[in-house]
Amino acid sequence: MAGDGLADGSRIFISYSRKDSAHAERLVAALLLNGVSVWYDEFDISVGENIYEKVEKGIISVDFFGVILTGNSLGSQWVREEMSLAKQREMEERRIVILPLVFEDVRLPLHLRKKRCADFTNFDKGLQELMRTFGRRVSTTPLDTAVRERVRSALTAAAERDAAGVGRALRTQSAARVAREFAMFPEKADSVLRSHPEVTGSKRVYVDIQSANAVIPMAMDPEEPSGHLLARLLRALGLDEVVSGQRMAFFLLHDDIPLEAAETLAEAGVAEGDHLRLGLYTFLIE
Amino acid sequence: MLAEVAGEDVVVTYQESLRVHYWLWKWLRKSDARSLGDLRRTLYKYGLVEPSPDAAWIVNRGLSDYSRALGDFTGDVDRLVMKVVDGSRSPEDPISSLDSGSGNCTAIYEAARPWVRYIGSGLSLNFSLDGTIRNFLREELRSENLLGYKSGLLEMTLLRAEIFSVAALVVGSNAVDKFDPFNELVAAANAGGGTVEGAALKSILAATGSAIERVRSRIEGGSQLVAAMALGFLVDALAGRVVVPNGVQFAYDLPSLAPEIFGAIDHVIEGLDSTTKARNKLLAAHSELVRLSQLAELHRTEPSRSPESDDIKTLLQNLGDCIKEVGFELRSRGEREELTESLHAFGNNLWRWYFFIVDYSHWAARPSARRSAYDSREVVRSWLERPFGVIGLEDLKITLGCSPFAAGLPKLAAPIVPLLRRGVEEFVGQNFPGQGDFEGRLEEFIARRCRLRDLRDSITVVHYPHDDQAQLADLLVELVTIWFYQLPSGRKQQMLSDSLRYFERELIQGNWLLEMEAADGAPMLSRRQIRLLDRYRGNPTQVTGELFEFSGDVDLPGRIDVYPPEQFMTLAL
Repeated sequence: MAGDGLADGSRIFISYSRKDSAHAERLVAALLLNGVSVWYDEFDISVGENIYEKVEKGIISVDFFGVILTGNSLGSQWVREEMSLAKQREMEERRIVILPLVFEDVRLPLHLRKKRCADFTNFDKGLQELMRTFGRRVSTTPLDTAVRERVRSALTAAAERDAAGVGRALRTQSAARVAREFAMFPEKADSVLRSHPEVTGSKRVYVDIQSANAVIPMAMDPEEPSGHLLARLLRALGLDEVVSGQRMAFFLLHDDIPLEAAETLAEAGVAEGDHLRLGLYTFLIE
Repeated sequence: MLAEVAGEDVVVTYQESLRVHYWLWKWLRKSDARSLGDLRRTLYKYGLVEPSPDAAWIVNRGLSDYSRALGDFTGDVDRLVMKVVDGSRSPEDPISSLDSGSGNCTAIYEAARPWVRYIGSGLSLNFSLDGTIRNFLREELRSENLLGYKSGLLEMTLLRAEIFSVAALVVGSNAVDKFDPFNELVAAANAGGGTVEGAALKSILAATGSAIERVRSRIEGGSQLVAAMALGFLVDALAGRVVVPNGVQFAYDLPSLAPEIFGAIDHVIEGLDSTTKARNKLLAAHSELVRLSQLAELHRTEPSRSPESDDIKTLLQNLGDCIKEVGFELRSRGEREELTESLHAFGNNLWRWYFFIVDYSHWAARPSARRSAYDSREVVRSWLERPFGVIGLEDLKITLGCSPFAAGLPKLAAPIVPLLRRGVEEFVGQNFPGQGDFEGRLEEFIARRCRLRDLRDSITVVHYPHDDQAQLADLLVELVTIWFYQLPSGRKQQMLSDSLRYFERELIQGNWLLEMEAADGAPMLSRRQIRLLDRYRGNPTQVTGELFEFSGDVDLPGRIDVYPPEQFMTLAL
């Protein structure tokens, strides 16, 4: 695969068969998390809108056309029609528009065989290849760069004060042991993320970061442990890169009470649309 | 320092406890609560141990923390241990290492082992407040993974298994049913990779009690029981030695092997009547003794040389017994005590040399290794024939529950005196006459006591469920510690002035929590933590009673969280 790189604000159209919705959702979530803007029918077509018209406009408006290739999609009339439109754009603009995303070992149509495909039979590998096409490395940053930077600098500057509006310096071993039930060092986020499946879907909670005057929307699953949500947020903010080793630990609060890492959002009474707050502990021990 | 503030008498008692405690820890891996309590009480009473002055100080740093911070520092020690293993360095001159700094000395306590003594040197010896309060929790609430040596339940279970072994020796294995607590304990330890469930221990403890109860009526008279008990303690001492390299503590430069001893022997020969057997024996042995002395000197000057081949093994055994016999003969004739003592020490050292040579090949290739006592039970059996070739008088006193400084032998030694003089056959003849199957029973007994030694090493953790009670206990300990360190210093002194009893009262009354919350000193808590704390808030007296072991006669200073190292030195600045 090759491309000129994806400029900020560029979008990719996701073409797929309805039977492959699970593949599509996973891909869309990963792209969003990596800061790639997506045209996805679930997000971009509302009830009552003309589907043909919206899809056509969508394909014309985006920079790239990603097609999820499976036995289902190759047999889908919809996908064939969408691909035909994209092919037309490619010919007119004399640049690569169609990005074949192979999710199953299938026999490709003739016009796609000469293209380099992203191999999503191994999802992580496929994602890496796709992101390289965009000139980016895989990260899990779903945030607008400006917001992310604002939050990062606000939190980083908060070495000894309450950066998030909640929290304080921890000065004793005992206080640290009480806090370990809910506070997380950013560098721990990776291992926590491995312990639970990825969270996708349209349900959202919002995390308020007062010191940065920011509100971060996060996909939510009521059965997700709150520690996992926190880990996703810390990765998204890239805090493992900026405060690692600085003995700063973060936690989420709901109704001013810290959420324990092990309790699920449902157990903690967190519902769709709720606002959580991000708290910060600075360790001043030793 | 203790001498300055407490006087020599207290120092002697302290050293006595210290010697006993470290002997049990070093050789048997048994953290004896009573002697540890004595040590803690003495240090506390004379103000030599203080609460950690700052809540942030890490005072409870275990060995694993040291290893993480410093790397595998025990590797250097192992290299030095090789010199002990090959007999070129005297085990009586232990290697000292590791400066603990200020703290509760947990790390150096855990690291202490044969040949290696750790020294604590710091501005102060501190006890950790949270660790101390935790020591008053019921055992199953103290930690989800309680270190084996801190578990009273494990100690009690092992003690009951030990009693079972004695009962089984006296009545014979045919008289006990198939239940064997040692098999159960070994299976439990193996299944958990060193972690044993507290519930499993309780079950084994109860089953062992029932098994003992079933054989109780078959035990006739107390004298055999006492003899078996004493024998068991002696076997324990030997099993403690068999797991470590050069457990017999032999070195080529031991004073009793030095050439000077021969001058003394010459003197003895000259002074003896020419018709005595003792004189004839000494004369016959003299030239061989000189040869042995030269060999010892050779090894002392060239430590790289391997120990002797088989040709002197028989000589060492024969001469060892010969010299001791002469000693007994001279004693029976009322000769000077120093003379007979020297001859006995010399004879014992010849046996020590013999045991060292026999066992050396096992350790030469793996000097830093440990072996299981159970796998070495035949070595223990062979040592039992001449125990003083392995242990000393002080060891015998401690293993029989006596002060190492006491004069003479403890009364419990009486049934095993025949064994100490002439071996197992003599012991059996006097204590278990006419019992043809005794050798088989004895082997089983030794195997069980070796298992006992191995279990102390292999059961490293006793696991308890981290249920709501345990979580509440954890939370209370942390919160009361946070509260304490927020108090003004005068109040803190007052809290500690009454042997820590203020903590008990505060926990029972629950006012500390209200006080902390009113001062906005409480940390943030999760919903679960708030819910747990509400249980305590609702009835602090009842919850404290459920979680803690405070009672009228509880020995508070004896439970402070400090582990005095074998040698402790404070630098008063």
